[in-house]
Amino acid sequence: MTQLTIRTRLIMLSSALLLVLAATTGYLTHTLADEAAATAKAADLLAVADQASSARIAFGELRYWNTDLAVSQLTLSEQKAAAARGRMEGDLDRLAGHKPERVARVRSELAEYAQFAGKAVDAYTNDQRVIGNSLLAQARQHSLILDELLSAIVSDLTAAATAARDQVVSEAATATRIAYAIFLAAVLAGALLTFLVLRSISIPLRALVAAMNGLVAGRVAVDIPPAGRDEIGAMARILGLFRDTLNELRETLARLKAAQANLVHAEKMASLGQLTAGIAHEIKNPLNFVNNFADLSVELLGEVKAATAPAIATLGDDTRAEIDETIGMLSSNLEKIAEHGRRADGIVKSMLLHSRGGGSERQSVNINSLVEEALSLAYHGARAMNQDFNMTPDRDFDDTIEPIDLVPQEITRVFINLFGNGFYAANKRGRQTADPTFRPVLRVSTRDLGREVEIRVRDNGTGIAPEFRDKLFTPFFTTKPTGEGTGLGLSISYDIVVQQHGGTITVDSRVDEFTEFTVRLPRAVAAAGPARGSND
Amino acid sequence: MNRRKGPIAAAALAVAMLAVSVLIGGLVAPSAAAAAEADAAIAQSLAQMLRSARTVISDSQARIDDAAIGDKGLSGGVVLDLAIQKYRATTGVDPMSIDPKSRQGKLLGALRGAIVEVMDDNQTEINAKGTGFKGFIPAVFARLVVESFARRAKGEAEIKVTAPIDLVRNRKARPDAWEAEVISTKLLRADWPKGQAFSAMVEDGRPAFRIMVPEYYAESCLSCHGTPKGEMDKTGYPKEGGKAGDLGAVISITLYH
Repeated sequence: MTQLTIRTRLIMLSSALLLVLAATTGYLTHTLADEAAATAKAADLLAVADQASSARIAFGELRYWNTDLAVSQLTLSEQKAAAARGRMEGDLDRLAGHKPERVARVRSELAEYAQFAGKAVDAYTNDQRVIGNSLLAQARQHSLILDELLSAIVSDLTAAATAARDQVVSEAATATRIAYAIFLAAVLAGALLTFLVLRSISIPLRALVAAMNGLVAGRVAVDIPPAGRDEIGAMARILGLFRDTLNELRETLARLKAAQANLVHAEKMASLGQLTAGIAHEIKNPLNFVNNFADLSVELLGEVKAATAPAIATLGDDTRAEIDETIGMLSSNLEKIAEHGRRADGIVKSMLLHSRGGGSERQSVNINSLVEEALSLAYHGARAMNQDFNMTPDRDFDDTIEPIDLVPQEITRVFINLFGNGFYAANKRGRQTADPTFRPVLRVSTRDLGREVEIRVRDNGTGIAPEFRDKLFTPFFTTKPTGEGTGLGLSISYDIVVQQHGGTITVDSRVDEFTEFTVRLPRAVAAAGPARGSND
Repeated sequence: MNRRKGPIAAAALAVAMLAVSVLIGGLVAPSAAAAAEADAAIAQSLAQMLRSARTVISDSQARIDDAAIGDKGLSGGVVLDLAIQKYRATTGVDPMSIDPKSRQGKLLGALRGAIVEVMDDNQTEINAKGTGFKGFIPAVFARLVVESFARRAKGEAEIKVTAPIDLVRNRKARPDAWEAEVISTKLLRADWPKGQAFSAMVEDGRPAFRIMVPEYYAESCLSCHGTPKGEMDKTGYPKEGGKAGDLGAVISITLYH
């Protein structure tokens, strides 16, 4: 019913009620017309019966006046008799239309009677009493037959009229019952229709009011009734749009708040980066001393060992062994110092490299080295943030890759991001899974595709839900708890790969199975890539 | 139907007789004219006798209808004597002086006999005590008298009191074709002289002298025949709505030759 507008529904309801009214009226009118016709027929029959009665009465008068005339000889009686006969003839004329054959018989008998009665009166007038008696006797015979005929006609017509009247009464009773039934049905149908129409209006209206109240109260998840084609549907549609707008506003507000938080965080991170750079710089000098002096000490120890060799050789075996062992230990210690110093130096250099950022000069770079360096930085970063972190990156480097021109600091940022995300996801799955055999794995592979270089970063982490795929590269989008992620990593990576280097970055993932980012960097830099937000 | 005879009526009768004589005289030979004159005289005397007797009954009507009186004293003889007195008073002629052997005398005798017979035959009814109206009225009396006269003068003469057809009460008094013709074309004519009789010789199987003597409503007639029309009179018959002077009856006399 919601496919129809309220106006249409109300018009249909009114029409239906009017139709029922019209049909009822039509039926009653028709029935009344029938009844009237039947009543008229009954009345007609009764009138005809009256006519027959009247004829019979007139004949009675005729007989009386004829008899009276025979005795009194008064012309008045003759006139009365003639008048009675005239009336009777008139009645018979009218009756003839209904009972032609019987009226014909009546007329025939009447003619006989009148003839004999007339002759009888004449006989009496002429003082011929005996003849008059005889003629009057014959007239009497005909009058008896005539009376019987009229009587039969009267009773037949009266019976027919009574039957017709009884039928009218019966039909009227039936029509009344049917009319009551129709009225009852119309009332019920009208009530039902009214109920249905009102229900079709009031229920969605109530739902709409509830939805409005909900929205006003701030419950954006409130159910909005389905948008039908009617006016309420239109209101529901508009309310839906209103809710969507409200949702968008809320989301925008949330994103703005998150962005604000992330900006604060980024600012902190930037300060931290500067601090780190300063500290690294400060550490680098003492570290140089450590490294240099460690190297020098190893050389000096060699010299000491060579210079003291004859003297040592003179010593007892036990002493010489002890000295050799001590010198060996010193040598080993110094090598370890040098080794770890170099390592620390590498880390500091990386920190400086990363924190300096902003470098936009393209350099010819061995991608494998760059990836390795980024992997190292990310790994240590992850270790630094989480003591429980433990993972062995799986490398599958194509050693034949020729150096490629790119901005190393930027691409390093890209991979640090990708590796960091991979560590996070794999580690997160490791924490969540009930599978004791699960081992977080991050696999990094490089391939030379000739005109471009492909780097795949695949982890066996929690995966990315399909609904988040198209938001992955949106700035400030993150699934990490606030403070852990800025929502800028992939966004910046996208800018760097696509905008800055004309490459592509795509993602393939299955929830709780894997996530694989594929970065392709062209050797010849093409024009700036597609706008942010597109994703393939 | 009674009719008082006064000097005017007598004069009218004389004029009528004269007119009939003139009429007939113009049509037939002098001998025939004389015969017609004689017939007219006979007819007029019969009519006069009948009227006189009827007037007696009319005059006695209140007495006849008096329920308190038994014997009304109206025997045939009494009535006849009174009628003869009336006749004499009207015409100046004593009917008893007419030669009983003559045709006029024989017919007048038959009429006198009829009058006596009717009165004598109806003494029981007339003298009935305790009954008011007895239906014995001048018209009935006259009809009974002329019926009796018809028997007495069978083959010689007939007297009939008739009237315009719409005034006839007893179908025995209905005018025959000739009478109806005379009434409608002569007596009812607007310019027909009042009281003038019409007579003619007719041939209906046998030659006969027929005369139609008109009678007009007098005030005494109107209690039964006057207005308002349709109101019942004392006999139970609706009044005809007549006015004094209207043609109310015709004494039709046939004298067979």
